[in-house]
Amino acid sequence: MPARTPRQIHFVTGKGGVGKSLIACALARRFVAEGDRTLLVQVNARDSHAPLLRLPPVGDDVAEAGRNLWTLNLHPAQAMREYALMTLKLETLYKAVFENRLTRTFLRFVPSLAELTMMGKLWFHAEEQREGGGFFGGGDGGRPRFDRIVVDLPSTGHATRLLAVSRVLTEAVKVGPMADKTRQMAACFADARRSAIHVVTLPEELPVNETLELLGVLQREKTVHVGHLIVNQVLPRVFDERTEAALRSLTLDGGLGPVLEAGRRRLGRERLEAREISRLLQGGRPLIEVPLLPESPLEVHHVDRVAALLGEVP
Amino acid sequence: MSTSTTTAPATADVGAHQASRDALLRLVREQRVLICVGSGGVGKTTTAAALGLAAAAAGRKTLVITIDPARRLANALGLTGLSHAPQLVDAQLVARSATSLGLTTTPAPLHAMMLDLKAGWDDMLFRTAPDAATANKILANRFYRVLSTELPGAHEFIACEHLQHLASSGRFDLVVLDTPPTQNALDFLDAPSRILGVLDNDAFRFFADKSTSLGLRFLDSASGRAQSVIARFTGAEMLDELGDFLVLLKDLYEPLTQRTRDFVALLGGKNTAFLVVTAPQPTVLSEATFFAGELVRRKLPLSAVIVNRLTPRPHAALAAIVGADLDDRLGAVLGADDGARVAAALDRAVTDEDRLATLEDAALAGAGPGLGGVPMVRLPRLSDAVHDQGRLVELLPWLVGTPSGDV
Repeated sequence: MPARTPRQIHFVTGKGGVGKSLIACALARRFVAEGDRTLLVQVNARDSHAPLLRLPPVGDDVAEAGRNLWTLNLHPAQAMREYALMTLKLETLYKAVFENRLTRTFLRFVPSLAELTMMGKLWFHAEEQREGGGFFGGGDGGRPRFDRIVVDLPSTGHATRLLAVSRVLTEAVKVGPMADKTRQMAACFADARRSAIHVVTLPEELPVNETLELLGVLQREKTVHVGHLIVNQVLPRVFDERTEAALRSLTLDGGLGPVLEAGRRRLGRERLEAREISRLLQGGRPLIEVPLLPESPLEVHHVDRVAALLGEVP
Repeated sequence: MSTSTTTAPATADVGAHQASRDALLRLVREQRVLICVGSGGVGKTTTAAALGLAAAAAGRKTLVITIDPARRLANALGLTGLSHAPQLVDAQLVARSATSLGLTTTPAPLHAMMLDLKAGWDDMLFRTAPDAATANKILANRFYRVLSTELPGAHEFIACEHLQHLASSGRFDLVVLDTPPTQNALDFLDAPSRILGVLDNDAFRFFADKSTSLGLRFLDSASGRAQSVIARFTGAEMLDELGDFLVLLKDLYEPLTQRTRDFVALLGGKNTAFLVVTAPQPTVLSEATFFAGELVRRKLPLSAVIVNRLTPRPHAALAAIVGADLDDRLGAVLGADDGARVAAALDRAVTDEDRLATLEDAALAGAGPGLGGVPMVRLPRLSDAVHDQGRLVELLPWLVGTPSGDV
């Protein structure tokens, strides 16, 4: 049997409020359950993973959060510092240069430096190797520190900016160490064997519009391979065609009026959702539906229910 | 068809809900600037469009500005697309809005535009530069593109600048701004100080005091190794170009600072109202309370909270109807088989609505204290697409009028 080489980097994106964090956490839970060493990352966000997974607050350093699970909340200032340190090696030099008020002004003008350094830090963790490993190849040496990295990206606009940043920067800075690193990084994210982006949406017109636009951009720019397309909060369908016809044949009068009206509201919403889902399907991409979970707050077992729905994730 | 007949909140709530809509109508009638803020996906753009319609229907010359490149504002207002120049919305739609609100005032024109970031900066550049030659030189510099499109806060800065420019142009009685989602709402509030922070500092002044371009040679004396180190980080040619750019900008410094002072004053002034738009889900509400808190902390005028997409709560009596003999009653009309199917579907529909409405109420009650104690306007979830312009008009009574029910 050939060794399983799982795809390592999984970006998750979608319009704000569609449940990206739920999907990112579900992916991470799935990978962890499969025995993969998993790093779960949120980007410059108010911590939404800790409440969902019942973890202690997620900090801006990689921290172990359970068996096979590490978490990280990626902030630009921290990432910038680490990236500069990696490039410049010496902390004193970093302080002399980057914490100098004059030079900080100039760094603010470098295109998307914050985004670049955040992506750079992600890339760094993707490249990290495990310690150990003997002469005859035993142990963990030479294997990546993380088998899987799940990145809960900000809303779509920011996500495309983050992913495009290496390309933008390669255009702006043509030579130098940063240019080399940037090119390698862009190649890593664009490699479908290594990275993919999962797009989350809702069965509503505006989120679907935005999703179709995003898919178009991703296809055009080829910054990253598109993995799963996930539609979240789908209302379970209780009206099939026959039930719908029967409902429509009833009149609103009599004591049943309010009940029928509630039924028609439900029917209207189901049909609207079905229409939006069919628009998503037109791209020919397989679609994963996650049902509306009318419980609050969500518990870890809800996250695991969603994880089970995600199917095989390469 | 109304969404109202099955909803039955307590009478005291109904009164409070109406008072909130009246308060929002006063803002629409009296303020000069309404700024809609909130997380993505809560109907902020739709709300901004509806407020614009209401204001125009009430006789105020109104402009709605969106920054969102998606076409939702255009869709909501029946326009095929939006551009950087204000576009007139069909007067019919405004007239229908007035009818829907029972207003007898003469409607005024409604305009809508989508702020184009680059065009916005170019506009401002030509308005503030001492002459066209300087403006064109700045325009050609690579760092100008960075400043105007890439710098964090660039979007928000130019939105504020245009808001101020348009609000004081005399063309409109009211300007409604639809802001980007809360993820960068703090950018929005911090944009003025961030951009000014870039301009208003020692390095900038150093360049501003020189009459000719020095590139970054000053760094040789000012901070020793810094130049070569930065160059290792970014490449040297970039630093030279940056130096040229800052020298070019020196004539813009004063006017830009003045513009910023103007719009900071406008944002915090008594003619401006901030409206937090949200939806009744815990995660969305927690962002709304966070944002309301930030507005209050910054002494910005938080004036109302608008909660979109509430699930209409079925009558308590409905459960009884569904629970008892619904099968039989429907069976009598549809036959036993279809009767049972429809009864089961209705049972589920009513149960789910009730459960969702209960969850939403709990979420709102939990968030209530954090929402600044301002009027809270509640809008029902419509089962059809809201940004379909017909539905938008239907929503207006829930926003600033007197709807036939409550939610």
